[in-house]
Amino acid sequence: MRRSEAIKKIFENTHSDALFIFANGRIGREAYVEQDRKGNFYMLSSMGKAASIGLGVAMNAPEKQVVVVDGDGNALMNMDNFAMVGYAGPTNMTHIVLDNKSHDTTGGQESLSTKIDLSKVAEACGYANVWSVKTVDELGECLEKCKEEDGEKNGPSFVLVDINKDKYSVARTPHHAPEVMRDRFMEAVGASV
Amino acid sequence: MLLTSKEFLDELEYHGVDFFCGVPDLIVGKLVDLVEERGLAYMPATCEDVAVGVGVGAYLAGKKPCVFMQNSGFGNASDAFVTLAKLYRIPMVFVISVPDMPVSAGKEEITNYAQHLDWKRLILPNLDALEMPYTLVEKETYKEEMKKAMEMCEETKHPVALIIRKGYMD
Repeated sequence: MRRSEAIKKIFENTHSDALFIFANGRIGREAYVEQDRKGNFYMLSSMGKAASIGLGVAMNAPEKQVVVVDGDGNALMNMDNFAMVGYAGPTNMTHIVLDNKSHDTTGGQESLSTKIDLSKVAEACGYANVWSVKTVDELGECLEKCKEEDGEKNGPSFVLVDINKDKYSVARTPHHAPEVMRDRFMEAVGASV
Repeated sequence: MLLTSKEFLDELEYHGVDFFCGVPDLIVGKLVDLVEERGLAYMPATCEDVAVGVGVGAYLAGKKPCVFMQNSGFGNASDAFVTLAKLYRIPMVFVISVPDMPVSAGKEEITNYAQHLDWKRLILPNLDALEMPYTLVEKETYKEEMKKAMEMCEETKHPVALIIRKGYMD
């Protein structure tokens, strides 16, 4: 599966008013090309912090589905996010890691996920649902389950998505000024600006 | 007379702070206890950098966050401060404690501990270098100083730091 296919599927199989936090690098840049929305927060730097931002949003906007689209490099950089998410257990949070086992944005250098299974980390940290998928259809199925569970009985969900390295899909750095991204995201949340 | 953690938290609440995340130390320990006693929204953080991430997320969802840490923790949090809180212009409060900074002249200086010596000397220049506005919290002036800091935070949409030195708050 290509990164761009996964991102397209993620938009398709999440709530229409879901709030997204995209990790820096090609993930946010491809998401920006695929579907730019007010409820998209693109991390421009601060590598590793996508799930922390998502946790802060999810804890305080419990009525919305909060979707963190992370990369393996990002997730490994702050693996402590897994512990915080598991501890806090926001039922409305879906944490997706697009895992190409490399730092693809910077030229494909190997990442530690070649040997580390991040779904095991999520499991150990107490995520309520943990899936590991290899195809677009499987990804869609898991995301539909996350929608059902949104705001109900279960805690946070984790989806590890096996993707290919891909430097050819169209990717553009979001052109919005950071404070514009802040304000329009808050508008999407329904928080006062 | 020392400022009490209760007085300090009352003042934060007065200014609308309603979400807390951070890593405690001996100086802000009582403050964290009070946050929990009062049932305020609180997320214990594993590290100070992710605390900033959580604080930024809380702000985006309509909260007025406070992240707390020791000065060494600000070292951990520096990039998140610059490339999240500062870059996206998030008006949030950093409470930074400084262990073993000498209390004001005339009072007996508390023993220096080797692990605190460098950060004690480096924290304020570090905040200056990263363009973090800060104020030193003291019993005599805290209300006025915090009012100024919180107003600046809102007006400039930029984080501010409240510095609590050892021996200044109980």
